[in-house]
Amino acid sequence: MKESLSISNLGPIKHVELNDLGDFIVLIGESGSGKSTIMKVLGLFRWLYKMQNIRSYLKHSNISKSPFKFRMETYLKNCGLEEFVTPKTSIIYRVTASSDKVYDVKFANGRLSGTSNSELIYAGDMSFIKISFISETRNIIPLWADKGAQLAGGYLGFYFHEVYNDFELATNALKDFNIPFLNLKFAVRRTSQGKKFMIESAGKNKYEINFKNSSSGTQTSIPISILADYFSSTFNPEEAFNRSLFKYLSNSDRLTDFKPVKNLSEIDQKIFMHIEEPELSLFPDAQCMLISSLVEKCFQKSVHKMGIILSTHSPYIVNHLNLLIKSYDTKNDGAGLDYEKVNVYQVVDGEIFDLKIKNQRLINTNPLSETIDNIYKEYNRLA
Amino acid sequence: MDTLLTNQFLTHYALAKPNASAPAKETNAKYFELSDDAFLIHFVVGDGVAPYKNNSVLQVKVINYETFHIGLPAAFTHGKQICDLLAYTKLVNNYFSLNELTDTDPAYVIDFTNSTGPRKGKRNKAMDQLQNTLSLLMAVPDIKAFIDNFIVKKCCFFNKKATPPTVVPTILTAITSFNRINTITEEGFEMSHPAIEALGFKLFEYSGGKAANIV
Repeated sequence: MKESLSISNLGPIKHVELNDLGDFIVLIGESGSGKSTIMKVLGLFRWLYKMQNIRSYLKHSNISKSPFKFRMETYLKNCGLEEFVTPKTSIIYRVTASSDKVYDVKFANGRLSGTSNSELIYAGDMSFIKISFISETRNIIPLWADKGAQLAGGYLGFYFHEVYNDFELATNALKDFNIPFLNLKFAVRRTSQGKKFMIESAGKNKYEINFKNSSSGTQTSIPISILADYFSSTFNPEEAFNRSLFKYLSNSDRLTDFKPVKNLSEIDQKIFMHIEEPELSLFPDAQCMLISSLVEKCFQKSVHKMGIILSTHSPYIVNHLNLLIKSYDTKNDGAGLDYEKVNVYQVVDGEIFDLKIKNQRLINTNPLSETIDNIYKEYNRLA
Repeated sequence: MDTLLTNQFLTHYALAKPNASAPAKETNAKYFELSDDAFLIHFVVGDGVAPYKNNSVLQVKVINYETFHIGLPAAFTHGKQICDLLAYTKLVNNYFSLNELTDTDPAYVIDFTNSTGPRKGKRNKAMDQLQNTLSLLMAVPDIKAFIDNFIVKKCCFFNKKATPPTVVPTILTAITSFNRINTITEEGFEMSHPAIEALGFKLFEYSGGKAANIV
């Protein structure tokens, strides 16, 4: 499936067109430029499209009663986008299926379209999508995991609980997990009080500490690594789709009417990870290695089709993409990225600029070098 | 082109004739550098900002569009972002370019020692200047017809990088390191810009001393 996204008049975004989205998308830009807004919109509309797929599957499988209603106001509120919406806001998420049929999920004039019973996805075009949003609040995961029982009922926002739920699922399927770029091991201990997360050094000086007491870089990068590993290997999309289907079937009490239109194994599947600032608290070398491990796991070793979008302020990560592209082009061992499947955009003044160099297989990293230039232009001036 | 500017451009936008014509110079040198000062064209490496290779020794005319624009009535120029120079081949319709030279604009070099607040980066500012100038020119039918005849049409952003510090030489390698991408290839970077491309032009960035080729 091919995706495109158009956003107009939404908070910091004046007009943004992202056409034919690649599997690996990077957004750069100043704080408050709208990178997270774009990611959140993409995550939300992918989720709406996923739900329309579930609705379509149920309808095509003889379940005539609509299993759920879309409540756009609630979704916008959950995503922190509510205050950005104006009467002029327009969002169009477009999927072009392999049959070339186009499906639009659209929000304009305060109304959502493309999600009704009369706009079902054809059986041959249906897909199952898993969406994971790893927000910058992931650094609270270790503390929350440690104090979870005492904090029951607490609410730290939609995106934190989304990523925490995924982290819970991933660590249920995990015992030990090596983090080579930090030279550490993440261990899951199952105790009578529940799971306990420990960090073990893999170096000469052996030590073991609770995850919540590990370094800030460890706390922010481990959830990304673990989720990438889980979604690229252990996660079972068919089971997840089944869970979603039966949740709605049991709610509507129409299980006996259910005549599956298609085997789930025949349905296209894709897992999307949305990651805010993967570089948080990491030394530059570790930033590059984290990205390499993500690329290897999600694109080279994954048993599923995957897509990643991330926002970053790191010049190291953006420069590292050129190495990964070169590595792919030269068939080097290790991580490599296909230039054709990479998009890098700079978000500035409510618009985006494509940073892919058209006459070279390179990403233009110069926008992130301007700071260094300015520092030394000023230095030279003062000298 | 200078006749088109002083006649058709002024008529199209209903503007009074400026007191002075736009500064212009010509050359057929194999190598030259443009600057947005009184010289416009330099022949010594490093004296200018925008290097050009002219291997076919074509006659090239350079017009200081910014100076021409500044001479127009304030009601027209107010709030309009425009680029520095126009350059084109004179006797053959090979090459036409709009040029923005950023090194000379200290307004976009941020002084981090003072908290003056964020400013739009010079790169994005330059793209706006090129796009706006191109739109202004192409809206004039006779100018559009003249430009459309050229084979290669480019909007060029020349970004002369900072040189490493002179006071603490050689120890600090940050500038060189961060700008290594500009040494990978001699060619300018062709960047996507739908608004510029819609007018039949391509956007190129020349950073770190890269030269544009007149072909």
